[in-house]
Formats: sequence, C-alpha cells, structure tokens
Amino acid sequence: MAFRLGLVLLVLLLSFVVDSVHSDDGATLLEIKKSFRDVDNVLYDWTDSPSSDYCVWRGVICDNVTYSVIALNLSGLNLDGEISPAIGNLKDLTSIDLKGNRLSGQIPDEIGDCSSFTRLQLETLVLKNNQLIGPLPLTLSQIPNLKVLDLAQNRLSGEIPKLLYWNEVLQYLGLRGNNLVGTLSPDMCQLTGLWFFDVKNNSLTGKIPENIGNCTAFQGLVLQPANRRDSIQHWIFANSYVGKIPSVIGLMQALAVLDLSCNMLSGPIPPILGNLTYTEKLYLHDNHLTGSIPPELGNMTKLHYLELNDNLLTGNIPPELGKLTDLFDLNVANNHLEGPIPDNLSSCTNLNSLNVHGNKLNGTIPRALRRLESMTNLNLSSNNIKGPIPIELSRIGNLDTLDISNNKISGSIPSSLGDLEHLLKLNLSRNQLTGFIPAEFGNLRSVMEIDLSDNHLSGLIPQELSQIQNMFLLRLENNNLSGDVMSLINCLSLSVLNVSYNNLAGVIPTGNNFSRFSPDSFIGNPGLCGSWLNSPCYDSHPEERATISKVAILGIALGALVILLMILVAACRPHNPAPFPDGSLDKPVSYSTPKLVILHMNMALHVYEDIMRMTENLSEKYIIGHGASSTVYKCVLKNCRPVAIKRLYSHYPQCLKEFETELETVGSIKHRNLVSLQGYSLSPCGNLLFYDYMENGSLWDLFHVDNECNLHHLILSKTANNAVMETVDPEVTATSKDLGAVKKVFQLALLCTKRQPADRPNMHEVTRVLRSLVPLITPPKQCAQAPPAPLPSAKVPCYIDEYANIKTPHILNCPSMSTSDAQLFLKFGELVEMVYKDLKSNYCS
Amino acid sequence: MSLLLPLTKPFTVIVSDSGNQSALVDGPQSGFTMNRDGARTDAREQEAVYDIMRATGNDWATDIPDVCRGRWHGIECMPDKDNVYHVVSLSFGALSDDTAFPTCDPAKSYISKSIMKLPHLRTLFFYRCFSHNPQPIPAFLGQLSPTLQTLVLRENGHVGFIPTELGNLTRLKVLDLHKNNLNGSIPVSLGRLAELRSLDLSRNTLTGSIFSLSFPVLNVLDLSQNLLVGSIPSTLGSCHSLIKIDFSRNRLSGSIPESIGSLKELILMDLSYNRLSKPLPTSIRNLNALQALILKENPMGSATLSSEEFDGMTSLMVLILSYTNLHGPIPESLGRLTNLRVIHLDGNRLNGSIPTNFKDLKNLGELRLNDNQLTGPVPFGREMVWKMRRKLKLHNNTGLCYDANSGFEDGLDSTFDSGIGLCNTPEPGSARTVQHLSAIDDGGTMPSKADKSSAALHKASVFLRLLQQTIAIASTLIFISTFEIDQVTGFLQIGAERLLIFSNRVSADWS
Repeated sequence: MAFRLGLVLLVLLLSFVVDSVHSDDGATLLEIKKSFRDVDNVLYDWTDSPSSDYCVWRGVICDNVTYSVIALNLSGLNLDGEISPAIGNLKDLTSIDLKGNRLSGQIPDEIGDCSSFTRLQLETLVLKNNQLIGPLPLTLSQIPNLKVLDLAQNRLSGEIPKLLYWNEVLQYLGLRGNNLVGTLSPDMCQLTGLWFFDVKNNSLTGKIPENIGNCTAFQGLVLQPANRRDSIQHWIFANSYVGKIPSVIGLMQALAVLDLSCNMLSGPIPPILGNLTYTEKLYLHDNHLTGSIPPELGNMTKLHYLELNDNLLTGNIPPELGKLTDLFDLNVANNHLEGPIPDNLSSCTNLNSLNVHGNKLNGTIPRALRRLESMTNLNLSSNNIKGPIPIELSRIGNLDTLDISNNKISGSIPSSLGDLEHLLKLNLSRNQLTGFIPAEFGNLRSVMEIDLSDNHLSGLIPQELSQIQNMFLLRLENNNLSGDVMSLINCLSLSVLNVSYNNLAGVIPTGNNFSRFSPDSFIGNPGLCGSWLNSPCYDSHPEERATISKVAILGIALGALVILLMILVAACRPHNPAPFPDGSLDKPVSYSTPKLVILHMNMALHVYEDIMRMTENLSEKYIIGHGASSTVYKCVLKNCRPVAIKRLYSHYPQCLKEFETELETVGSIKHRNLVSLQGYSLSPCGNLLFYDYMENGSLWDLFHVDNECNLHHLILSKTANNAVMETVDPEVTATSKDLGAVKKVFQLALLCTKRQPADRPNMHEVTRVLRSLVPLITPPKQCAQAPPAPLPSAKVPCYIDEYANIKTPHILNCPSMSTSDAQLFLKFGELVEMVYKDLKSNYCS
Repeated sequence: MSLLLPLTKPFTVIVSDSGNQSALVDGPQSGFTMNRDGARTDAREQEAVYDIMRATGNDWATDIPDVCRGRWHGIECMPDKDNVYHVVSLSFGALSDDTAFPTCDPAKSYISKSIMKLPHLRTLFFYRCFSHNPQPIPAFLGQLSPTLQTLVLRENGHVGFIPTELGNLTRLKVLDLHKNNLNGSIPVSLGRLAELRSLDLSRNTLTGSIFSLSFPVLNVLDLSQNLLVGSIPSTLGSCHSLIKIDFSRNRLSGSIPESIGSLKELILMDLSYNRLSKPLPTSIRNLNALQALILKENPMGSATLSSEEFDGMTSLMVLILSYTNLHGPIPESLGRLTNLRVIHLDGNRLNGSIPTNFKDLKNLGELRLNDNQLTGPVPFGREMVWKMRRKLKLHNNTGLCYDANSGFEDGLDSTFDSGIGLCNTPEPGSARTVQHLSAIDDGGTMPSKADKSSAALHKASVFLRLLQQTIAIASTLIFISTFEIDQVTGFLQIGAERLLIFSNRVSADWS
C-alpha cells in the first residue's frame, strides 16, 4: 500500500511539474488562488483538472481569440490572504478588480511589472476595501495604460509616488482612506487626463500645491468645464493640510465637488470660489478658516451643499446666499458669525436643512422662513436671537427638527406649532418663554423628543401629551409648571423624563412602569410625592411585569427587516404628491441633460449615455420583468456588475427635489442582504433607478404567484409550533438593542409586500419612518475622527450599521427554504393585519 | 508658458500669449450661459475642424453650427481679446467610457492637413485612431502652430520614421508616441525641443543610437521597448530635471555614463534587458533620490560589487540586478539601505554569505538570491521569513543553510520549499516529496507550540488539498482501471484516518 501511496503522490507531483512547465494562464490562476485564503470556497471551480477550462472559472474573463485572461473580477468574495505576485504573469490582463475582500499583505510589485519581459496591458486596477498594507509600489508608474487606479480604504502607507503623476491616460485616482503621508507634488499637474481625484482621509500634510488650479486651467479646464478629460471633477481632500486655500482653485470651474473639509486650512475663503458655477458641493467645514463668508459664494448657482461649519468665520451671513436657489443644505454652525439671519435666505426655496448653531447671531427669527417649505431641519440654537417664536414657523410643514434652544426667545409658545405633524424633535429649551405648554402639542404624532426646559413656562402639563405614542424624551425641568404628572402615565414609550424644579404636586404614579424614572426626574417639586422619593405617599405594590418575549419579536423583526426591506423600494409605489397651494413657490423643473446620480462607486465610471447605449435606449429586449410600479431592465455595463434598471411608471417633476432626497436616503442604506440602490437618473424617459442585478427572478413572484414556491403558501403548509424563538439567529439577540425600532422597520416592510399597490405606504411615508430611525446620512458632514453624528435620540441606535454583521436566513432560494424561515413568515402573517391598520391610520390617512 | 494669474482682478484675466499676435483670454468665462453677444468662432478654424472630423470618420460633426459652442467633448476653445473663439485643443479616440471624445474609424482615418489652419492649437491628442490604416506621422505636424505644447499620438499604429520636422515644435512640453510601429532612428532634431518635460517613444521599433540628449527641464524620458543600439550618451547627465529614465528592452551596449551621478532628482532608472557590458559607475552612489534601480539581464562585465557599492543611495527601495554576471560577495553596504523593499540578485555568481545586516532591512518584502553560489547560514529569523513567504527565493545556492534554532523554518509557509536545508546536515531538503511523505508517514515534525498553530493549520489545509487531488487522481485511475477499486478505497481509508489524527493534532495545537 505504501507503494501505491507513493505512486499516487508521484502522479500528483507530476501534475505540479506539468503545471509549472506550461506556464499558461490556468496555472498562473491556480498560483494566484494559492495565495488567497478562500474562506467561502467561492473559487471551488478553479481546479487543475485537465477538463477544466480556466476561461469559465468564476471571475475570469478571457479573450475570445487567444484565450488569455484579460480580466479578473473577484470583488466581494470574502477572500482572505494575499495577492500573489504571479498576477504579473497574466500578461494580457487589462482589468483587475479585487475590491471588497479581506486581502492583506502588500500590493505585489509584479502588478507593475519590474522584472518580467513584456509590459502589462493593465488599464484598471481596483483593490479598494481590503486590508492591504505597505507602500504604493513605485512600479505602478510603469504601467503605460493604467487608467483607473482605485486603492481606497486600505491601510497603505508611505508617500504617493511622484512618478504616478506622469501618466497621460490616468483618469481615476482613488486613494481615500489610507495612511498615506507626505505632500502632494506639483507634478500632479501632469495628470492631464484625470477627472477623479480623491485623497480624503489620509495623513497628507503640507500645502495644497499652488499650481493646482493653474495647471488644470491651463489645459482648458476653465473653458470646457464638462469636458472630463481636462477637468478634475471631484476634488476631495481631508488630511492635515495647512496654509490657505489656493485661490487658483477658483479656476477649476469643472469641479462638481470641492471637499477641503477636515484639514487645518487657515486664512479666508477666497472670493474667487464664487466662480465655481458648476460646483454642487462645497465642503470647507472643520478647518481654521477666518474672515467673513464671501458674498460671491452666492454666484455658485448650482450649489446643493454648502458646509462652512466648525471654522473661525466672522461677520454676517451674506444675504447673497439667497441667490442659491438650488441649495439643499446650508451649514454655518460653530463659527463666530454675527448680525441677523438675512431674510433673503428664504429665497433658497429648496433648502432642506439650515444650521446656524453656535454663532453670535442676533435679531429675531425671520418670518420669511415660512417660505422654506421643503425644510426639514432648522437649527438656530446657541445664538443671541431675541423676540418671539413667529407663528409662521408652523407653516414649514415638513420640519422634522426644530431647535431654537439657548437663545433669548421670549413670549409664549404658539399653539400652531402643533401643526408640525412631522416633527420628530422639538427643542425650545434655555430661552425666556412664558405662558403655557400648548395642548396642541398632542397633535405632534411623530415627535420623539420635546425639550422645553429652562424657560418660564407655567400652567399644567397638558393631558394631550399622552396622545404622543412615539415620544421617548420629555424635558420640562426648570419651569413653573403646576398640577400633577398623571397626564404622562400613558406615555409608554417615554424613557427620558425630567420634570424637576417645577411646582408640580400630587402623587407620582407607579403603574405603567412609571417607576422606571429615577428620583432625579422629579426632585425640586415640593408637592410631589412618591415611594422612591423621600416623601412616600403610601406603600406601593410594585408588580413584576411579565417581560414580553423581546427576543422573539426581535428575531422576527430582524428577519423581516432583511427580507422585506429588500423589496421595499421595489414594491412601494412612488410618492403621490400632496396638492400644492395656489401660487406655489415651486418653480417648474426643466430637464436639461439627464443627470445620472451615482450613490455607490460601483457605477462611478458610467454616464447616462452609456446606459442608454447598452440598453439601446431601454429597448424592450432588455426587459426582465414588470413590477407594480416599474418596468425592470437588465443592463450589462463594462467593468461593472450588471445592473437592474427600474423605470418608474409615473413621475412627478414638481417634487423632484423631494424625490431625490428620498432616493439619497434609500441609497445610503447599506446592507449585504439588501439590494443597494446604485444610482438614479431623472431623465426624460422616466425616473430610472439602478440596482444591483439579482438573479432568481422577482420577489414579487415569490410572494404573489400561486405555485409551490409561494411564500404565503409555504407558511401555511408548515404550521407554527410556537418555537419561533429558537429559530432566530443567536447573533441577533446579541447585537440589537431597541426592539421597538426593529419592529417598526419590519412592520413597514410588511406593508410594502401588500399585493395591491394602493395598500402599500408610499415612498414618502417609508422614508419618513426610516428617517425617524436612522439619522439622515449626508455625505461628508463629519470628519473621520469626529464622533458619530448625533442620533435622533440616545436610545435609537443606528440599526443599519449594526445589522450589517448579522447573519440572517436566506429566503430567496426556494428549495433550501427551512422551517425557520417559514415560521418567521407565519408570524408575519399574523401581525400584518394589525400592523397594517396601525400604520395606515398613522401615516396613510 | 507660465500662467501667473493676477488674482486681484476678479475672474477674468488676460494673459499675453507671447509670440503670438492674437492673445487669448485665459481664465474662466461666464459659464455656459455665456453672454455671447458678438462672440463667434473663427470661421477658418471652424472649417478646419470639420475637415479633421471628416478625416476621422466623424462626418456628423459637420452639422455642428459652432464647434466652440455647446461644449463638444474633445474640442476646446478660447476667446481672444476681440471675443473671437479659437480652437486650442483637439482630442480623439476611445480613451475610456467617460471621455466621450470623438472616436476614429480605424479603417480609414487619417490626420487632415487642415490641422495646420489652427494657429492657436496647444494640445493634439490621438489615441488608438489609425491602427487599421497604418500611416506615417505626417511631416506637416512639424509646421503646426508654435503654440503646440502637447502632442500625443499614442497607440495609433503609425509606421515609418519620426518626422524630423517635429523638431520645429519648439514649445512642445509633452511628446508621446507610445506604442506605434515607428522605425528608423530618433531624429536628432528632437534635441531642439528644449522645453520638453516628457518624452515617451516607448514600444516602437526604433533603431540607431540615442543622440546626445540635452533637455534641461525634461522630467520623464521613456525610450523602452525599441531596438536602440549604441551606448547611453554621457550628455544624459546634463538633463538635470530627470526623474525617470526608462531605456529597458533595447540593445544598448557599453557602460552607464559616469555623468549619471549628477541626476540628483532621478527616482527610477530602468535599463533592464540591454547589452550593457561595463560595471556600474561609481558615481551612481550620488543618486540619493533614486528609488528604483533596475538593471536586470545585462552582461555587466562580470563585475564584483565593491564593499561600499550602494552607499549614499539612501532612498533606494527597489534593486533589481538579476542575471547581470555579478560575482564576489554581496556588499554589506546594501544592508544599510533601510528603505529597500525589493532586492533581486538572482542568477549571478555571487559567493560568500548573506550579510548579517540584511536582517535589519525592516521593509524588505522580497528577496531573490537564488541561483548563486552563496554559502553559510541565512541571517533571517521567523518573522522576516514569514513576512516574505514565497517572495524569499534562496534555492540553487549549494552552500546556503539555516540554523536549527533561528526560527527560519517556523516562518516558512509549509507549502513552500525554501530550497535550503539545515546547517550541518548534508542533504538540503531537496524536494517537497520528502516533506510531504514524512508528514503523512509519521506526522512529520509537527509544531508543538501554540504560536505555531497557524502554520499547522496551513499544513492541514495543504494536506486536505493534497487529499482532494489524490482523490481526484485516484478516481481517474479507477476509470482507467489500473487499480482495483478496493485497493483505492483502502488507500482512501488510510488517508482519512491519517487526516483524523492530523486534525486532532492541529486542534490540540490550537488549544
């Protein structure tokens, strides 16, 4: 037997030898595979059996004629290990995409070929989102045709090799999120073909080269802003740059995004930036900028985002900013600005968020703000603003955050504030308000936080507050309120309550778990008594409440989240706009050039025309299905995963902005069990949404077509055994914190699976609920090192992030449907009617 | 041309285009809603653009009423002080999906002579344009406007000589003729291009020798992949701004000139695959900015490396001297260049031992010393070996060995044969057969410490892979009926048992 064993091994060895003698691409691929640790065995078909044709292996694309490997796409396969130097042996390789794995080690120098005989043909090298270390190989500069180099989000160190800039054809240089050091070389002017440049979140220092604007302007950038070749469109820094903002940047008129945030830039904002009339996003926040805000910024007519917060700016807010009619987000918080809030800002009718927190602004709250009907976030806190709260504020019906705390606001609270039915957070604290708490606050159905502390309010706590079912924070301390606290006993969701230092009296109830509040919530009210204050009224009988099986609900909720959110967008009908009042301020929206808005970088290198070309202007032959709200096309793009294009049946141009906001919100949700929204385009041939293409047909069919795969059918066929708990993934219980919010998401998702489109909540409702759970993620608002964005509340964690790590049942694959999946669905079935009624009455009326 | 913008004047800056009668207005225009009252495009240039478009198969373009209006990709214009627009840049070819330049019909495209009617042209860019209609580079390009700064004719399939006339384009900063089929020698007239910053003639079939280059501001010089002969001109040392020299894959002979030492800014020098036959000049030590020195495959005159050979090259990260006929010992000075990441000295006749200070090269990630005559113990410990893994190549050095207690073996990837054996043992583990057979027969010398568990796991996975392959082969053998089935399964059973034992051992290691 030992002989046989030896013989087999001999054969085995021979096969190795044969491999190495024929140094063909197949053997090279196997060599590359050896360096990976293929955790999920996704490369199982990469074998050296003689019958195996490497051209059909996963991720391998061969030339049709020569059968040499021309592209390697192994993105997102959970590959561990390292990139083999053997990759340099694939001489005809034009594209390498290994993004989104867990590859470690260094980028092999062989990728840039410094020791083999023939030069690489490589044009695309995408290694982003791995754990690669070490420096950028100098040899990358030796790849003559390199056009796309994306090494973002690794742990690369060292300097950017100067020679990399000497490339006529390099178009995309993504180095964001590494540990690169050194300064930017003026040689970068040689990148005449570049249109995307991103070095954000590195440790680069020094000054931004003075000649940056100069060299690009020289190449015709100034005159031909939309010509991508000679124009860097994305200019993104965030490092430790010092010095001033070079004025010449004002000549880079093609810039779509100028992000100099989170550096240590000082000096004034150059007025010439006002000449960037095609820039949509200007981020200068978190620097040491001084001087006043140049009125010239009012010329940046395409501006959507203007973030100047956390600097040392002085002077007034220039009224010229009112010319920015496309402005969506204006943030000048935490500066030293003075003077009043200019009335002209009310001309920015698309403004969604206005934040002037932490300045020295005075004057009153402009009544003209009521014209900003799109506004959802108004933060005027921590200034010196005087006068009353104008009742006009209650006309901004979309407000979800109103924060005017820490000012010198006086007068009474207008009862019409109760009209702000979408309000989530209301902060009027630390002012000089007098009068009563309006009973109309009971109409704030969505509100989660009310803070009226540190004022001079008097009167009773209105009974109507108990109507607010979502409120978890209520702060009324340091006022002159009287009466008792019984009106709050039905606020079951309340977890933070402070009524201290008022003139309240009576008994602190113990029912409805009211004892969850600490004595600190009640002190300073001489008339209040309760068992756990030092003034017991009578012996209490605390009863042990049966804790509901949180875990069960949680598990169900999670499953629902995962399964049903996936179809949420697909199944939800588009927003049905509320009729606009006569004389509406909305200007008619004209479609000039169809804009392709990219939310994820997967599609970054494509333009609208590409997609139209690939699908022959959305020709019928690319249709893969029809949904309740859209027709779905499949489009195979170059160097990119195929995308599913949903063309919505109807669109409402008058609500474009709102629609876009909602899409941004949906697009910001990232979860591996969710089909992510890659981008959208509001084009003349309909509103197009781009998703990752998923196989296995449509989920609609799975839910609604009557066959053995029908999910409802499956659920009915497998009877419940009340053991849902055990079927829940144990990781779920370990990671989630708030049951209520999970439940809400799940309920929402359930609604979206209703068979009749009319029975489903619309997009607006969906995003509103989601937004109440997840903080609105607006791109770069935060420095990398800064603490996370303030959540709507301390209690609601950012679920989407947490869930990204949770394993959940896969239901799309019908044959492998397990009993646990079915049980989850059964539970859904029971809940759906109840939830539906509940939500419908809340949101859909 | 320097474009120093007087920024005190807001937004519109007039720059004198010296040497030209009609100065263009540099600086941003008032956007695309530009107030074009009285603005017009030069009619002659407009016609010229139509001609050039037609010549590249873009007949549709003749329907454009005004080529400077409407932002056509690939066409850039600037106004002069009379508000007349002039074409300053033309670009063609499918560079990528994002740069929607006019593409060329490769079968019938050519460069129209009308290009001469564009007196303000600064950039001319043709990429993959004429590959199916091979044609020489037209000599009339040499008569283009003296304003031309960038001439890119990349991967166009151009044949014939480089026109001498290109030497008339004295304002040229970038000349890029990469990947064509140009032959003949490099015209001496190019020496007149005193403002050149980048000269790329790589991947052609240029012959002859390199003329006496003297480009004071040249940064990048790429003549690689041609058939150039003769020696490297010593005048290269006068191109003080060079940061990259690539002469690789030619037939250059002679020596590297001593003057090279004056290139203080040089970052990369690739002279590999030539016929250079003299030892390295001593002045090379002055190249203290040099990061990559690649001299592979040159018969460098059977040189020895002096003991202070690389002293002073403190920036050096990549040193590739494979197959360069080196002999003698590896200089200890090499171990002092702490930035070194890649060292290839394979295929030489180096003898002596590996300098012990090599273990101080913390950045070293790749070391090839195979196929030499090195002796003595390898100075690397476990960590360094583990870091380099397969990129450490030491085989075919009869005298090289490792100390049993150095940790060398622990660091090795178990699937990888270092090619050297233990010191004081006669047989350097010659083949993986031995290793694996011993691993199967008695479990080998299994690591017993906990920190070896990952190595053990590696071994386990290798064993698994071997077993898989064995099964595959065995089943093949069944079909060709060489073995009786029961014998094969018997073997498999034994294999499985051993695997069980093996994995138990591994899990014990883990715990």
